[in-house]
Amino acid sequence: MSRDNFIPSALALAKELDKNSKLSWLGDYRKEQTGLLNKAQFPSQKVEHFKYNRLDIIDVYDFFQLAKIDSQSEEMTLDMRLIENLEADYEIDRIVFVNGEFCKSLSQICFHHITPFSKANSEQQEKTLIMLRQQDLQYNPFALLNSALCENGILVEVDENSPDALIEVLMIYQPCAVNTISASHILFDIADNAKATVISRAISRDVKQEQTVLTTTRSIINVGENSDFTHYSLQLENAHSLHFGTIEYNLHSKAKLDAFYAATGSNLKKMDIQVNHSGEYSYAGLDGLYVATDNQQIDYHTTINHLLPNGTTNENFRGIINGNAEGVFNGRIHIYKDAQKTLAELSNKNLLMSEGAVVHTKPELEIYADDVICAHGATVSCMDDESMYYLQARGIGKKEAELMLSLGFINELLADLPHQEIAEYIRPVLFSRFDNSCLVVDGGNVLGE
Amino acid sequence: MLEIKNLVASIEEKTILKKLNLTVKAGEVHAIMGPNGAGKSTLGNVLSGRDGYEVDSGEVLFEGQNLFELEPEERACEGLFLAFQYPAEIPGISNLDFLRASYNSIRRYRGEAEINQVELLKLAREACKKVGMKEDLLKRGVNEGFSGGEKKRNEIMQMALLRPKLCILDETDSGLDIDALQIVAAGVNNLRSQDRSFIIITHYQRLLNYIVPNYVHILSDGEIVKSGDKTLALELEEKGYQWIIENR
Repeated sequence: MSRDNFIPSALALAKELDKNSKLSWLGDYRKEQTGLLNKAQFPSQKVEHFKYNRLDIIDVYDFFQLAKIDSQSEEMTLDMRLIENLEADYEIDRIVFVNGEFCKSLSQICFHHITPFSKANSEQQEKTLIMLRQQDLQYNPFALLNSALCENGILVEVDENSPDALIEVLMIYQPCAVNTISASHILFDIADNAKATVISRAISRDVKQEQTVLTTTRSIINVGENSDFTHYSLQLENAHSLHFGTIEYNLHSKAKLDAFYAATGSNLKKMDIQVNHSGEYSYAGLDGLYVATDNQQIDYHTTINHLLPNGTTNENFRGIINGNAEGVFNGRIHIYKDAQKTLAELSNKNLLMSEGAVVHTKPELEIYADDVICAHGATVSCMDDESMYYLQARGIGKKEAELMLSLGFINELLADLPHQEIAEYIRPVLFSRFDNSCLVVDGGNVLGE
Repeated sequence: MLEIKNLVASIEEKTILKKLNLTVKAGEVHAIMGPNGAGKSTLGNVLSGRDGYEVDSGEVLFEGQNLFELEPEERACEGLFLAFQYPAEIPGISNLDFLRASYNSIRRYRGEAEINQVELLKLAREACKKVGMKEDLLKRGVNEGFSGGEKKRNEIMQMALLRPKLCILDETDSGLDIDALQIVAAGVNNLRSQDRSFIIITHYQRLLNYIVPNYVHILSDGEIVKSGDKTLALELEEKGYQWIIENR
């Protein structure tokens, strides 16, 4: 499929979906979004938001049909295991999407209010529509495609004063999803004075090399007054996936967000994260890791809007780029005129492991208030010679020393995660992307063999 | 143990070591003193194989092997140990993980079985005790936020743990107060044995009050200009390096 055909094909697909949809209450919303998509153009490299993306990859595929679940496939009988050791401590609900579609049989919902769009009552429908319309997506045709295809989604409602909700969201892509488009929506409405943790994980199972699914995802999270929301977003699909995702947070007064993102490389993975500090004294801590190798590309765009006074943002992204891979980080903090006493810090550090590795990093601060404390910085560096020599002088071979230093670079963020089980889970996953031949993972330590 | 013959070495085409000769036998302690810029640290770096140091001519035999045919990590595995003047800080890798990787690399090289975390921890604790190093520094990132004295103790602690054949101490005394100096010296003295040798690079005679050397060499402008026993260090302290340079 050529890039020129992308928008017309997307429109045709949206029309087909709308015609067959059982959820008429989403019809008006889909029409709005389809209208916007109709006006959109496939982004050229002159469009700042997509400047570094290798969108020509789209030419290789012929996506234009919707993903369906293969109910005969072995995934449907798998025991969807949680991240180890978490299970014992919490009452966990599990939401499973297969090829972008909510899958009731694999999900396990006992403790929390989790409603698929197809089961939403009128109140929930209204809430869903308000949340979906919270953000203008016109800047991003892939996000518009996702919303024009809005059908598969869930609404998670965490009640006021809930002590500690833990929800796992698992996104699985089956081999049969090759050459299709998936569009999923996950909405979280966290009421006041509540506490919730969400572990969101995307994985693909044995999809044949060189073939892929075009994944579009959207998460919208409203965090009520005085509430704590911890979000892990782990994008670990196979190396050939294409993923365009948006995550939007709205933080009310004194809301606290602790988010951790991790992404392994794929043909193209582009995550747009937006945080709106819509109340006073809200806090957002965003940490992220990306590891790309071969010819992969990972792109994190973050936009933090401080709309009201006394908000705090602490953002820290790190990337390791190897082979001929490319990393893109664009971190923007926008402090509006009324957002006095804002504290905002943004840091992006990148480690380049090879001559062909490239990173484009752009931290941006846009400040219209005069009484704020802000800092931002970005570094791009190669393996530190002093550290390499130190390890070698202690008998550690060059390859193992490189792995140890990369792990060290990542470990600094992993060591701070409130749920260390996630750190234990993610370490080997990230490192298998580097070199799975010489690694032995032993309780989180990487040793050569 | 170590035989350095007519060693000429340079950094960025500037010759630093000029026909240096030195023989160290098993069990001996050699002190190398000299003014700033004499090439003392270069000697340590060339022996351990640091990048950027070119060997122009001469040879070095370590236990009969040509040292320059070995990678830095192979030299370490063969039993050469450099206690760094400025040890690197490596956040994100705990001291203990680092020690285990090092210890097991050396064991693998020698065809010995690796040891597990529990066994390593036990050995590391013993090594810490020998050099008066706080055990909680084992959990911290390698040298991360360590004081100058803690970094030097960490070096000697690694030496006690890895038990190398040849230990090169590169200005280990710099930045240490007298108490720390004594503890570090006691750590070194503990390790002295008939089959282990030391090269102690230092500016000052002070350290040699605690680690008594068999030989003292004075390095000036890239070559050893005078050798003697421990009294040479005392004489040097009294008369200064200028005395050596003028009497050549």
